[in-house]
Amino acid sequence: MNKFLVTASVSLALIALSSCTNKSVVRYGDATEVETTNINFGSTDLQKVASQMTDSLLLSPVVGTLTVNTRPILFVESIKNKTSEHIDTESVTDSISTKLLRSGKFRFVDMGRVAAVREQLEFQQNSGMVDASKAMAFGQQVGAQYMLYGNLASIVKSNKDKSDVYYKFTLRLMDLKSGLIEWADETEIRKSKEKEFVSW
Amino acid sequence: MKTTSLGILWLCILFFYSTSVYANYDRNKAVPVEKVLFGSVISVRNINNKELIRDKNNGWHTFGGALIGGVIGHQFGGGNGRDVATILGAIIGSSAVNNSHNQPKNLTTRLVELMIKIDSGRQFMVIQDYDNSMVFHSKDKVRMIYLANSTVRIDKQR
Repeated sequence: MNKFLVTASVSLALIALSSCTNKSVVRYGDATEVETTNINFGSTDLQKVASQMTDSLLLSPVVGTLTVNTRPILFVESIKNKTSEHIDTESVTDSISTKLLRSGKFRFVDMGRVAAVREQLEFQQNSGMVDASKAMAFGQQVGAQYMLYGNLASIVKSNKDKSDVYYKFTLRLMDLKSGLIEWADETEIRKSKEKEFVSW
Repeated sequence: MKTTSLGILWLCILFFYSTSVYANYDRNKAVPVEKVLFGSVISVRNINNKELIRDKNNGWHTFGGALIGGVIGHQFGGGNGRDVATILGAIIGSSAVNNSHNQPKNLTTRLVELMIKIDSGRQFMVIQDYDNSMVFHSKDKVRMIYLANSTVRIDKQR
């Protein structure tokens, strides 16, 4: 009986030790799978915001009129992040602009790459390494006609058992010539976390 | 023997939890915000508790008008209306206490003094913890986040 107890205890200890080893497993997952690791702004929120905003913009009657015979040129101003979280809002606007470009209805100028473009044009014009007749000249780029801009705000409430986060993402399209806002929409996300009591 | 096995199991559980790493700065946490101002960094200066002591002896001439941010603001600000001198004094006190408890004598509190100009033109001096993962430079676009616990935090806009 005593021998049995010793064996059982040693086995239990070994099982406990083996279950405590630090194993890392890498897996590929579905990028569109709903992510609920924590209550903070995550990939699902980014995808939801980008998808809803793009659909809303493309289905808007005003935008339908704007894009009948032409592909308006847009530039995306950075999204103002008014939450406590350090969210890569450029990633949100990247997703939106990529979806809009894919629709074939809009064209974009990338203000984030102006310095790189300037450097390249200066190289073509001044380095003496590029055929002058084929070098891209300054002053031939096309200016944006519309500006896409927005805000991301949050309201957070929590107590010891429950946390609730409400995100509101607002996007607007402004005609740079007239200053008129041609389109605006907002999307909301509500996430909550409650303590669950484990039942056996 | 059963007790020994259970003891080992407990040690395993304790080891598992104690190896979790918690960052001092948690910039990705959703917490209540009062307001967010946008602006850029005019100047950055790394400071430490020795400079705080010097300034304390000079009557808080340099840091007296600063806003206290980051983790130190959360630790010592407490949202109970304590003034800058009291909070900075608490930081000095904290490092002195640490020094007296088997810590190296040259323990320094790394802080960063940021002069921020917000888009409306107003300027603010903010002192917050130095964070390796977010090092500020002049002209950086930043957000000045007023958290609901009466502290301020400076984050880069991107």
